[in-house]
Amino acid sequence: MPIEDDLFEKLRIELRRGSLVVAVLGALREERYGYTLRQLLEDAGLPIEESALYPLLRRLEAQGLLSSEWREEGKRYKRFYRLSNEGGEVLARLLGEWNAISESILRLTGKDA
Amino acid sequence: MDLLDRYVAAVRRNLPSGANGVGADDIAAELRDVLLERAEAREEALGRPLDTAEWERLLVEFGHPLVVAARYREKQSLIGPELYPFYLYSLKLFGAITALGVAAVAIFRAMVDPGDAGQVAVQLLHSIWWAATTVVGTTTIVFAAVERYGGFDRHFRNWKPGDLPEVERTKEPGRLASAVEVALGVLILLWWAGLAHIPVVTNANGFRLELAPVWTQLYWPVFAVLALRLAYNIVRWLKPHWGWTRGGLAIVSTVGAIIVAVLLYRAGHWVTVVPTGMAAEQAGKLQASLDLSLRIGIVAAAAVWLWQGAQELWRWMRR
Repeated sequence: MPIEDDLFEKLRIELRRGSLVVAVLGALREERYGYTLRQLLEDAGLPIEESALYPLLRRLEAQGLLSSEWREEGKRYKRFYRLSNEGGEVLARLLGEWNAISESILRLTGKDA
Repeated sequence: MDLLDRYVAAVRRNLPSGANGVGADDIAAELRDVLLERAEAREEALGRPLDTAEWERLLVEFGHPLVVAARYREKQSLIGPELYPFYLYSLKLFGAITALGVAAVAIFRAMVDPGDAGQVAVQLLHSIWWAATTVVGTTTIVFAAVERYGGFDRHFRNWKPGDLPEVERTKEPGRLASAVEVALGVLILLWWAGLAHIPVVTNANGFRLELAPVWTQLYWPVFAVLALRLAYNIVRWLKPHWGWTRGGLAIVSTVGAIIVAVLLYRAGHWVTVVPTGMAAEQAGKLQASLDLSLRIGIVAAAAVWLWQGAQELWRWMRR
């Protein structure tokens, strides 16, 4: 991979890292389990490795932003995640921040990006 | 399924204690479900159960058990990016102080220890290794503890611009001074190359001085040090912006000079007063006086070079 591509990839990953939390919280306004959540993120253009997604879910739950429960679905028990009340408040604030950043970037780049 | 069980067990074994307050069994159960779900999706696409090689591929794609388990850690790094600059600075500072201390002790021991020079050198390397390991280890442990438990980071955040040190005005010699130093260096090197085997002779006041055999033994080390110093002066004169080369030459020539000083000191005898008319008793007194002066001179020179070397090392490390 050329150096420029390598650099771009690093910057892209850095840029996406923070936005993934917003995406996960947003997607979990509706209850989902890990596999379907990952599919949804991938379909929306935000693929995430499972080995990164599940620890992230645990962390967000430990922070009180998600709640979860084991429930039977099909043949197996699965852990379903959902946005908690506190998570909803944090998501609203993060989305506000996201929009402000987006507008700032568009202003700075002359909306031609 | 045996592979799956072994994989999940390996991840579970390496999960951090507490795992964000959720039990390891719970994480392992979820992981198993995720992997089974992924396997089933593949089996559905293939229309048959996965064979061992396909299971292996699936697990490799998911990640090494240590990596997967580590992602459940609250802290992903030993020392985070906020603390890292302070860690690096402390490492350099304590490293430089320790290097100076170890070098001073080593030089002192090498001068007074009558033992074999090789053995002294081995002991020095041993001291350097242990000092470096201790400094790096202790600093890392302290900063890892600060990163993990916090508290001390307030010290790093609450700094005052007024406490910053004054701007260091480095006194760079002018190009003419550098050229003169180079010319002197060439002259000294030529003198050394031409006169090393000829004893210094003086017939003043009824005695003459002869250089001790140590000077002949140290002919090449002295030559090397003079040549390195000349190279340093040439770089400083013509290519002053070659920081790494300049710093490296300065350090190597200083270390070389210190080693030569130590070897000289250990010889214990540098010139011989040969009476050519002077009374033997008077010649003996002159010999003792000269020995003492040279002994003090060599120690002073080693101390000065050590200090200069430490300064150069510090400048080099701050690059």
